[in-house]
Amino acid sequence: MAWWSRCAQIIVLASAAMVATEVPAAEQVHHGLQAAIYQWYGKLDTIMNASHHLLSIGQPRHVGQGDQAHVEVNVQLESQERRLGQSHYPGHYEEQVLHISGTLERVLHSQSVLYSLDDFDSKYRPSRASNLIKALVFSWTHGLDTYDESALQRHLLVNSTFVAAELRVQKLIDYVPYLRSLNYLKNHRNLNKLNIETLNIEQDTYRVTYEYQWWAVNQQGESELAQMAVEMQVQIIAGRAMISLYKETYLAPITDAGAEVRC
Amino acid sequence: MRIRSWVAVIAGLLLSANLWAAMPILKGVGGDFSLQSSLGRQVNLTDFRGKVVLMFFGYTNCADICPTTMAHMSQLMDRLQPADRSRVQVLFVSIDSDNDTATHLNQYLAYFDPSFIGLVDSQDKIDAVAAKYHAEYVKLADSTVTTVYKKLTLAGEATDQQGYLFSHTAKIYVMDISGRVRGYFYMGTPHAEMQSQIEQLLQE
Amino acid sequence: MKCKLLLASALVSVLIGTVQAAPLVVSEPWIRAMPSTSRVIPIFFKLHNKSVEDRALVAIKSSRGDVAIHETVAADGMMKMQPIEVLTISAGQHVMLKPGGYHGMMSHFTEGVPQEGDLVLVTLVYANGEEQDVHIEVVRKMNTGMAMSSLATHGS
Repeated sequence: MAWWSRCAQIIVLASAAMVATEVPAAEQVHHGLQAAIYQWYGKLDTIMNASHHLLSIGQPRHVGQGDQAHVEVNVQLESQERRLGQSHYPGHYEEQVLHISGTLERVLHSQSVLYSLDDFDSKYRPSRASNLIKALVFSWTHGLDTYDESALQRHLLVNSTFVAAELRVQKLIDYVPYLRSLNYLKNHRNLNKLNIETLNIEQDTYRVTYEYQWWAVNQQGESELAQMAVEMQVQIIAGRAMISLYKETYLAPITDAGAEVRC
Repeated sequence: MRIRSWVAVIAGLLLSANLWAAMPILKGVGGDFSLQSSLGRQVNLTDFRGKVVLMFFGYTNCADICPTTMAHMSQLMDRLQPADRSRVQVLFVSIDSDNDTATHLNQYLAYFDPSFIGLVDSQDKIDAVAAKYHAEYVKLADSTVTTVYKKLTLAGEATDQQGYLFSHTAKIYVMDISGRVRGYFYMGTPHAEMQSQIEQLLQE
Repeated sequence: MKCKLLLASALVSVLIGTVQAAPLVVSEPWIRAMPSTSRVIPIFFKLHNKSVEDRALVAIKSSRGDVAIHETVAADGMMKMQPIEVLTISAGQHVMLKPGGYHGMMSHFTEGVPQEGDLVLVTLVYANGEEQDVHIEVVRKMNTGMAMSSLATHGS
């Protein structure tokens, strides 16, 4: 088969797979729920001097009625309690059911349904900072998705720097009105390429980078797609990750990953 | 007979139904610009409102990607209905301001299709447009360029300018009738897909 | 078209007997016709190594101009052409010089840019010193469909 014909077939397959930029609602991750879960484990890490590395988060289930109504989510995690004076010791694998408030904002309590001690020793890997930072990133994203200005404002430190991708937006207080002015019928951000690096361990400061693929439906019913690179500088203060710098820039959206490499 | 009629029905469906979903509007990429052209005058993106614009960043001393892409687009133009063809504009933005003069670009593009327009301007103006479109390009370091290529100079002109290779995006930017970037084609994108997408954009 | 190709490969097979080393079979050669003002033109063909040893193409020569062996590669979301010193064709394998991949880049034309319909003689030079002459037609064909009209010959 000629190269171009093979190539054409691959591209047809790829484009058929790639044109759907909307994530089906059932598969969309609820960023507020994720924020609540990571904040819960970040808090446990702080209190217990332990680590909780989340392996997976299941689909939320609505249970109970009336006052008892809440949401349950199964999570799988690897955890370790810190032992002083030892560098390697066994961790354990755990499955837990999280009971979450109906508004998905807060984890009420957790319940272990499976606990299995590792049969090997491993080095202690802290998770506190990454859990708290993920909680911040997901909560921030949820704030953007839902135009929740006060939630966004809560994450910013006083005297923080804020730079939006849109040049007309100068400050955070202009951002939500700008987002609202777009009059989107639907919008959702997919998060990827999250990377956390420590800036200063004593000051508990971090540099966080990730990308948003921001999908929306405008008033005319047209799909819009933006790709953004986000850079944050974060400081953990009193068990919460706070933003000292937020900067986003537009990237060229990727609509057909790999298409140019194929030929 | 029955099978044959089913085949006809399916073929008909395939032809009528659009196999490709509408291209989303891409944000944060693109925008209006004004550059000198191979037509010998200033060209603005706004000149092409009402047309689908296919824009490529390249250079004429490029032996493979650029002519392959231009040939691919020329072939695409031949496939389009005349009414649609008159509403499609191919733009070739030269990233090699040193070597690509308006005249040279004009001769080069006319060879592929007389309707293609080349854009060439000062390096900083081209850079500004490339930045708007996230059309990354890099002039390759001397070490990676063959001697043969370095010797490449302006044909018949006494100059000590040397030829060089570029690393550049192979994207063909697809812009709708309002000048908004809607996606990208590549030199390997099948003509049927390009045609279908263009026809859809022209109907908007 | 197929007949012509068979005939060409039969011809090449006959020639095998006359030379020492097992040859590389050149097929589907074409040169993209470019404007007469062009400073570069690309050369494409398929090289099939029917021998039991790996072979290496180290140069392409032509009296019509300088030829460099280039490769188009994608990196960091960009594409570039880069020169390659040696193109290895493993025993029993074939390598395609094709748009978007390996290609010969001819420049510094001695008799102007080869024009559509011209038959350009190029010599493929292998690492073992062997040389192979190929006449390649300049065609204004587009990306689809392969030109089969050129005849590859073998010599040393």
